[in-house]
Amino acid sequence: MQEPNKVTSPLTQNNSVKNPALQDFQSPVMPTWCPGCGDYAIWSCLKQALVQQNLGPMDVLLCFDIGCNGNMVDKINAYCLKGLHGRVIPLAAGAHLANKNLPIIAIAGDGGTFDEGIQHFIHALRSNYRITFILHNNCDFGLTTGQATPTTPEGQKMNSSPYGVMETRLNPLQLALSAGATFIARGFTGNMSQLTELIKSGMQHNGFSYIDVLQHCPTYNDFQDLKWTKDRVYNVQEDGSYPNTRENAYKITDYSNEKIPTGILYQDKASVSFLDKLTYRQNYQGILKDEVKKYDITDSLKEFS
Amino acid sequence: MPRRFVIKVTGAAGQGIKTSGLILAKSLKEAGLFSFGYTEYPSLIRGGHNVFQIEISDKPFASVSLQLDVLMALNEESVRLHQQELGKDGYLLFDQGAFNLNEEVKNALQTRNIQIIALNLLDMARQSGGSAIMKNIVSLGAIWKVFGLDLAVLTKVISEIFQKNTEAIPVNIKCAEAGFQAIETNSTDTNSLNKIFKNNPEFADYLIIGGNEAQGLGVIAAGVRLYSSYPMTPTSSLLTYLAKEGTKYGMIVKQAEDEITAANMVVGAYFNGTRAMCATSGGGFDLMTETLSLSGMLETPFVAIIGQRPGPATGLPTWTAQGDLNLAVYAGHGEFPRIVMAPGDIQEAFQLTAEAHNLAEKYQLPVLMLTDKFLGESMYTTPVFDQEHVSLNRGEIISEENADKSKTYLRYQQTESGVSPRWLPGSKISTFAANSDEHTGKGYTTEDAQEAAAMQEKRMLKETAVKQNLPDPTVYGDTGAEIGVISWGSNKTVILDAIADLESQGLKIAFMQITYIWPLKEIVISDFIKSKNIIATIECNYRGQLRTLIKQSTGLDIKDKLQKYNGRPFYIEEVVNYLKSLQVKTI
Repeated sequence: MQEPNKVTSPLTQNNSVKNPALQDFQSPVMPTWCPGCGDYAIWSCLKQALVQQNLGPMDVLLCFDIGCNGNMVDKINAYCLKGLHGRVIPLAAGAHLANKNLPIIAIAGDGGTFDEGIQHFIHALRSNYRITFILHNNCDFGLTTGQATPTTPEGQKMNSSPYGVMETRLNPLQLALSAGATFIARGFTGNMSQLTELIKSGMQHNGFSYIDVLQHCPTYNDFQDLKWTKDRVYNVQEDGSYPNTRENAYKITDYSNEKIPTGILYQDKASVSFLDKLTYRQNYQGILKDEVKKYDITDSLKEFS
Repeated sequence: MPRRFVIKVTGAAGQGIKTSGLILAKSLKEAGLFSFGYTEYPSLIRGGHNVFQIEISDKPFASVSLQLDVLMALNEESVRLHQQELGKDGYLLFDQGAFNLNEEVKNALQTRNIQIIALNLLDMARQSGGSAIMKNIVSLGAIWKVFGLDLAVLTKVISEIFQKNTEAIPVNIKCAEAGFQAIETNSTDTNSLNKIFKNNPEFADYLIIGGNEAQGLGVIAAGVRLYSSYPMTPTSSLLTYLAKEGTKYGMIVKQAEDEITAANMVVGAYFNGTRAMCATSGGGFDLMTETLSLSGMLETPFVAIIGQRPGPATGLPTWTAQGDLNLAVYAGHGEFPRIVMAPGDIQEAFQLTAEAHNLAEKYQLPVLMLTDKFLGESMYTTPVFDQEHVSLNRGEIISEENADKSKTYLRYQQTESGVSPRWLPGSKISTFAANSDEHTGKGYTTEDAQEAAAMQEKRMLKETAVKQNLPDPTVYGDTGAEIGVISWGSNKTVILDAIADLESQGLKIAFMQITYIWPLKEIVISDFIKSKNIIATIECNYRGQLRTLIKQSTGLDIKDKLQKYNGRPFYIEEVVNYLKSLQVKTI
């Protein structure tokens, strides 16, 4: 294999606002989430993470899926794109390939991502696009009034599963690890300063950064409320001795463990993102957005003459 | 019938039949002759029955005939399946090393005065120092002799084809010579194409190219920088061609995990300001339909090629059809404007790709290009593409430099044409939401009745603008003729070839090719229909999808029709005979 392209970071661009502040991201549209919803915390941490990285509303693209997460599309003043259910990852990936200089955060829920969008999740991990993926993991479908998702515990009664969920509970972190994840982190809406740091770390990662956020759903999830989660979480980065290996991450994220690890669970620090692997673009240091012009195909005609 | 010389090479897949076709076409071009190559093959990697048909003339054309002059049979099945297609005084060449002709077949052929030439291709290849895979080169030498053309032309092309593997050139040339000489000793009565046709040295400068490659070049020229696709016949070769050739221009070619991804990547990439596209067949496009609707709602450009093959379901994967017109026109939930266009020949396959992107950007909507297996995988002889004709129009994009700082921009601003000038994310102009929910001018979600209706009307207004500005259908032949036919897509060339033939017999026909099918230019089409005594549609589908669309838009019934839905394209004989039958009706 040839040398990969020089690693490029989207976070070094000119900013739209000098010293951006939280209020720059304020939208006139008021949030519509239920009182006590974890989305408020994710919403705040996201804005905090942007501000702390000196990014203004016109310096990022926030991409949303369908669900309560997607209702954030007009609750934050920034460039926003909201696609279809389960499809935010390929939509964000396309946007990223067109303009790698624009930091891109894709936001989705556990329902869309692990039901009908699961192939996109797996293949984006394999492709390792440089985007940050924040998963609102509340173990239910909120917007459609409390059906089970793949992360709902087996046996749990939900409104579409009155006899309890028959299916095995999907473990997204283990799935991500087996698909070749180069960055997985777990946050918790009860610890906003940690979540803010995780989003920032994810955005600095040269590849697909997956941030799984354990989020309370006060309306449809009474089996894992804020206290339930708070009693179980611990921060793996706390004592500085965390072994950063895939094997370890796989082990500690198993559902059989009593405790739930949070923090950066695994990061490949030598990760090379998709675009940086494209050796055929070595002579193209710019972005696709700026390369749209008429191309002279005379050389290619020779084969046919 | 226009004089053509038709040769069919048939055998099992893996016998080098496609390479033979390419070498023949290039050699004929060198000899100043015009050819058209058509392939048939089953959905298998090896084995199965492969056909390469090359038709030769001294005038441009692009269609296939039912009747053959030469059949080169590499296996016994080929004789069984195709010997009846041989016309009087034709030639059957067969590989005696593989099988023998039975007496019954021999007698049948001889009553039609068909010359039978037996060749032992394997022995001849071995005697020339080659191996079994060079049997096809031996057969080419023999065919070339039947053509009565200069061997030096063939060997020159063989040298060019193998230029990357120079060691293989001498032995391949020897194999070709062996085939050429074998005919000399077995038969003296060879057919000289130079006697039938006047050769035209201009053809030497033409291209020999497949439809998908031509379209691929159009994709490159149009400034498409991201091509994402999931392989599906008959557009897989477009993906592989761009993966090889597009990347030389820095185009990112991404094989996606499915068509849903391919389509979403196109929308995402277009949203962020580059040109992107995808291609598939009808079945793959089914998976793209929700994304088509998204493109309509976000008013983000989107371009996809649907290479048609017969459905439903898996259908006939490697054959041709025009059954996805309704799919292209109606796919996607909700109502939103779109453009459906269908290139009719190899030049249009190249030229219209840039046009598709221009329209998608100008009107901020999805554009679908309908091609088919016949157009995509046939081998055309054609003048070098006119690159001067390719022009890029990106529509209204506000840049930071030309943005008016005192103005408040709304991404989904109500305008007279319905098109709201866009700007690209990251520009220091103004934030907005591109929202799949119904939205306000800023892109914020709304469920307000008035706002929802106004935004739907704004989007649909673009359809009016598109319809006014799209080129009218083209009328070929004798525009004042009593008989008119209407068709679309790759039928263009067989109809033009049939009209040219009938013209020489004094029959006049007007042919309307609808290249931009949706929105339909109903007034122009209606005028054309009303001006004819006899009017017919020609389509490769069962329901007559264009005919129905015309009726729905114009209220006019088109009673006469020629339709086909067996995976085969229209043969020139079928169209000629059909048009003649229309003439009888006028009397």
